[in-house]
Amino acid sequence: MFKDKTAIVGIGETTFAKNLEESEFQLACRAIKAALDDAGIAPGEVDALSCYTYEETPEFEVARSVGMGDVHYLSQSPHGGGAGCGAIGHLALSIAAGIANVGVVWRSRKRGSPTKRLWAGVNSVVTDHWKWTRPQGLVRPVDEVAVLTRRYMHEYGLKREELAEVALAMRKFARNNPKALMHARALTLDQYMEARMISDPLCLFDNCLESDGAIALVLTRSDRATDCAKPPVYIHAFSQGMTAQHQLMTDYHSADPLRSSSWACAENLWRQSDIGPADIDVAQLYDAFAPLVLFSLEAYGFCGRGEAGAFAAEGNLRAGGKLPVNTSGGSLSEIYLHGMNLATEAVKQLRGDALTQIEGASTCLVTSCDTTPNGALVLRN
Amino acid sequence: MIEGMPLPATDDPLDREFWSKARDGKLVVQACGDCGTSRFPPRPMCPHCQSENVTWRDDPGTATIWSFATPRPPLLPAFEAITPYITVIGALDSDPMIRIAGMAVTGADDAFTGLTAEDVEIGQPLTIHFQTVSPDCALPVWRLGPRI
Ligand SMILES: [Zn+2]
Repeated sequence: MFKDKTAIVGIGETTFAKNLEESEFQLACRAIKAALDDAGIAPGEVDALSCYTYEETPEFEVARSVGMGDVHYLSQSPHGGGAGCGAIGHLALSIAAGIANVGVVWRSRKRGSPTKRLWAGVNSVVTDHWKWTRPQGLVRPVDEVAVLTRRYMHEYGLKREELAEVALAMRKFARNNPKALMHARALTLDQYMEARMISDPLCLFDNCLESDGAIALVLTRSDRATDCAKPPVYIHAFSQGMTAQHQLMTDYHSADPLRSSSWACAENLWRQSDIGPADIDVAQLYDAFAPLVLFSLEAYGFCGRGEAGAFAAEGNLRAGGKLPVNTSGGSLSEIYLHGMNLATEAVKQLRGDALTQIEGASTCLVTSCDTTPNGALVLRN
Repeated sequence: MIEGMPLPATDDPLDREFWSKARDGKLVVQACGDCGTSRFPPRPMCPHCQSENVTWRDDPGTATIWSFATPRPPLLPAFEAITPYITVIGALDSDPMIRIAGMAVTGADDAFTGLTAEDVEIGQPLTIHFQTVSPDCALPVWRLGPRI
């Protein structure tokens, strides 16, 4: 019913920068046009739209600016970094179910200006679940992830030297990617170890970039996909995940708090997939904060619980390792667009035209944020 | 009160009992009126038996550190002004599944500024205390016990 019934046939990216002149609306239109051109599909053929609930440009503005025709399906996926795979998956579902034919998913985001930071909007009176942590000093997402990382270190003995490998491996990939914001900047273990703490044990380099840009993808039916301009990348399996007793970002209220929503997502993803963790050639794991990569490696079954630090330290995340991860530089070193660059990089790898091409890559796992309700996709060529 | 610090709404029927007792310096924990299971943060229904009957049980407020964070700039100006501080997650002795965040405080004046990661460790004992930060809000803070 769902497996391999849809494919990603177009990808579009704007310029990536710390600050762009253009509005989010303008960037969204530009990325969508680029993705449709990449697919060789006219805007009038698009009849499904999917985006993040965080998206600030309404669907109708995008549709009437880009020149789409009658639209038959609209969807939004929740929770910022957790939303990317959900937004793509919802679109694929609508197409696989025969409700729509050609879908566009996009994320446009200007984060460079300090006023756009999530925590800059902290209200003077907090009415939601954050009333239990923000007035108490856990002000930013990094502070919330620091709590979980500290506990993980306590339970499993993860060392900062091992955690460093996430930032170092991503930076190495970015050094081979001229679009990456950190393309020109080498990073050494010494620099990492001496970097200032943002929320101990997380230092500057464990945090994603502040950046502007937009990304779009075009999906269609697999039988239509073979007529497109580029080789199709098939959506093999999809799930979202929200584990029992999950709490957004401050996820330490369940019986086993380090069993994140990724575990719920992974179990249901692999249940549907003919491709298992051992068959995955390359992975794009959501990395707004470096430890999320380690947590996801365990949840998706690439190593045992508590083993991800050692797995990374063995060089497995690099080109030539057991599981190259975030091969364009990810959110830590390429661009932070709530993980949408992970999806376009997955497509590039499976088309065989990535900048750091993993030889023979035919399967890719893409994941969304470990510490929110999230999602994941198994893609294949 | 710290200028510009975000404060919790304390008049929501869902949790106003917690904040009301907090103003008296007492910790209460929401518990199911039917099966008795404690839950935190407060919510309308018991996830175990789906009862909407709510009770609030008194708790002695002794705990141990489950984890902690040491936020450092860039922060909201109100928090930047009080660094270095530590926020700890205390797991209650009465029910370690109840984990409550609060700033760590120390000394006779319950100061939170000046603490660093070297001052605390996971497992360290804690006692809850409530600090008045506005006319209708006293926030939970954790007094640090001796290192283990
Ligand atoms: Zn109950």
